[in-house]
Amino acid sequence: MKSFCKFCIKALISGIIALFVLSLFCIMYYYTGVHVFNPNGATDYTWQKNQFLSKCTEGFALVKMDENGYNNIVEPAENIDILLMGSSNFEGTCISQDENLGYILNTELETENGKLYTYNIAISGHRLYTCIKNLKNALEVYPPQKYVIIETNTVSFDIDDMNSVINGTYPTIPSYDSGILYYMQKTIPATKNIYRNLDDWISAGQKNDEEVITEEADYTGSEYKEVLDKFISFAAADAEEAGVRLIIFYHSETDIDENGNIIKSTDKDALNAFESVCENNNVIFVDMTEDIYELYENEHILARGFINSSVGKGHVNKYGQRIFADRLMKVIGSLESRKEAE
Amino acid sequence: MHDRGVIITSFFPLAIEKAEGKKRSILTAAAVTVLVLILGVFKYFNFFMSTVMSTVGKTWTTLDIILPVGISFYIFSAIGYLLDVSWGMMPAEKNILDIALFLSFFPKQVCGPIIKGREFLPQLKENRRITLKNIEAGIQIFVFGLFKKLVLADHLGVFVNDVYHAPSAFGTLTVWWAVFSTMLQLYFDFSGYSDMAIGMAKIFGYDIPRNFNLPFTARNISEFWDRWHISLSSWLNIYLFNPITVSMNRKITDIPKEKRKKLKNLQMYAALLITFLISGIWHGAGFTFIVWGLCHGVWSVLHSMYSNYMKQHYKSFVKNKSKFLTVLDILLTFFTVNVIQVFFNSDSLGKAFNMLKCMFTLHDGINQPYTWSFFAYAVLIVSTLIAHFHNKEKRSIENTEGFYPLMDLNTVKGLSCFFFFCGLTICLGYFGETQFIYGKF
Repeated sequence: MKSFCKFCIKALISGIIALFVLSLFCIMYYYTGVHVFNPNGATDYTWQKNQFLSKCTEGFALVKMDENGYNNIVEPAENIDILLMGSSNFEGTCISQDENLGYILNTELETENGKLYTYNIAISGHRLYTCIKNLKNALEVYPPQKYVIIETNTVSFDIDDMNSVINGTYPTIPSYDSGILYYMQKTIPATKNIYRNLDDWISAGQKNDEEVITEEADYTGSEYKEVLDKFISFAAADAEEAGVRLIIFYHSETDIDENGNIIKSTDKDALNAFESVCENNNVIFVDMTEDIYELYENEHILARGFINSSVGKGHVNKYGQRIFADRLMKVIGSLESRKEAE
Repeated sequence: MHDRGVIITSFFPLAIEKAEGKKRSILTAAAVTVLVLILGVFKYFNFFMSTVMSTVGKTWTTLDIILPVGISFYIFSAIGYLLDVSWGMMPAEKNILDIALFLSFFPKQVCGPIIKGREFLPQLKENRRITLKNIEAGIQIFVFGLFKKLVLADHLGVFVNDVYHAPSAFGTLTVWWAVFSTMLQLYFDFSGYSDMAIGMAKIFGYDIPRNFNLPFTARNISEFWDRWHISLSSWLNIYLFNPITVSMNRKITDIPKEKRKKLKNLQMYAALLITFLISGIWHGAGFTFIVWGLCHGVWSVLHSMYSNYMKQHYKSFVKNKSKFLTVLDILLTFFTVNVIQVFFNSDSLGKAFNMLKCMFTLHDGINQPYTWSFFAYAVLIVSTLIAHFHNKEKRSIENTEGFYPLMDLNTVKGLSCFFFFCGLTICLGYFGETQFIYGKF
């Protein structure tokens, strides 16, 4: 009994030492802190104020969040011209802060009307539904002068989800910012990584057990088009009320077939429906499919994926961010020129 | 299927042991044939039928035969035991439960190693127990294997699968980088599983022989097979290559001495080719495995011819080879093994040749200097150097042997290192959908 107790004490001390050393390692390898609930509603959650992030699991990046918990390094200007909203692809935590979309726009976007200041409040997990749900609050908290750009990686939407956004019942993404797990993840960097990986392991096992049957919506049907129209007009109304132009920025997932050709995964019917609904609601629709295709065809570079992850899959990389920025600079440049002419 | 295998492996050896002369040979041949037939039906029937039907211009609807887990390992263990009894190397086991445990011992069930009856069955007669000492060693070996599988093999698998899926999309250098990652992936995957099996068996008090011994330090193909998948290569050597050469040698006793030597060499080459061909077929039902086996066979024959010639004409050169040339030998062996592995890793011969075409033609494409491959190489090189310098008395490449760096888990230092290593395995591990490569064999 005595030797057992002695062993338990040794094990406890060893566990603490191992966790400490592992945490030191994780600070550099993978440490993101935790999402905290955002009371102003511009996004469902933010990172903690001035949070330090390290990510070597997909790309290699060290990032420091701004005072609002978003990924920006350019000093905040008094007036925001362009507000970026979206998911982790726009947020760009897998790449250096001086290579992400927000930074490029801030440093390179010059129009006939002068320099435009961009503020990026994109954050992981925020799909178009959540962004449109939060749009009104976002435009109040971070009011842009000219444009609000929302990113989406799909143009195929779920009727129920769109309805729940319109009805105001779309759920807020939980941020788990209380309880023992929160404090452990916040204070012991290794915990977050271990928790994330074990969670992935369990969900991979569950995915194998469950056969997921997804039903394709009829994107040409009148019901779908009607709800989609309400959904986009809901967002367009918020933008109009705030006096800004809404731009929806679409970039598709990519894959490569056995012959090395890029596979265009977008559903044509869904794309046509979305495009026409945007046009009807005076929303500018930017489709990046051709740009991504050209980047691959001309330079053999895919917009997604990193040198330590699967080729062409996962988050948008620095090359993707660059073509996104180039395209947006063109779009905004021509809109500004048109405005000037008018 | 396993129960039938257990019955055959239990009762035939008892009869074989009692029988003598021709009767013993007939019984042995019958038992081996039944076991080979079981393996053939489950693993090769569809492949065989579709090949035959396609040559006569007809189509074959594949039958839904579920391949029992680890069937190849299981059948080879059973055949080895039958032959051992038949050759008088060990007595037949009378306890059917011991036979069942020997064949289906769970740690090695999925991907081996192929345990010989003479190594495992005597352990069942000894008083083996779960002890703290065994748990301490077993759990460390298990985690060591887990690290190889989750952190190294599975991450490498992501890149290897991407490139093998569409080789023409990638630039030449990237294709080569993937080829040099393939063998590494297989090594860490399979040796990782073997370590886990060894560790798990150790926890229960049993010893399973190691399956890998720093294979990438091999200076030639023959040495490579002494270090790679040791349980299979030693099985093939004992139960296939040796019997073939012995039976061939018997037929040339009345030939003049000079001619006999030449003929003996030819027979050895033929035996090598047959052995490697069967090794290829054992790995899987497909022409890619046959070509892979043949490539290894041809290379072994060439190497054997070359070393015979060198021994005859340049004895002192072979004996006093410089370190530089030895390293060159290692690199050349490593390079060739990796190139041949393209057949092993491709789904069809067409895809294998396409991969080879992409390797040997300069073309543009995606550049992916996959970082996990650099990391895996770093781990491999550092661990090999540690193994090399660990052996203080006989520090030479041929004497370099792998070992498990076991720690004393009764000290804070040992426990801290062990907990850290466990945590590191989880932090760095790949947790997507993967399986053991040798699990499908």
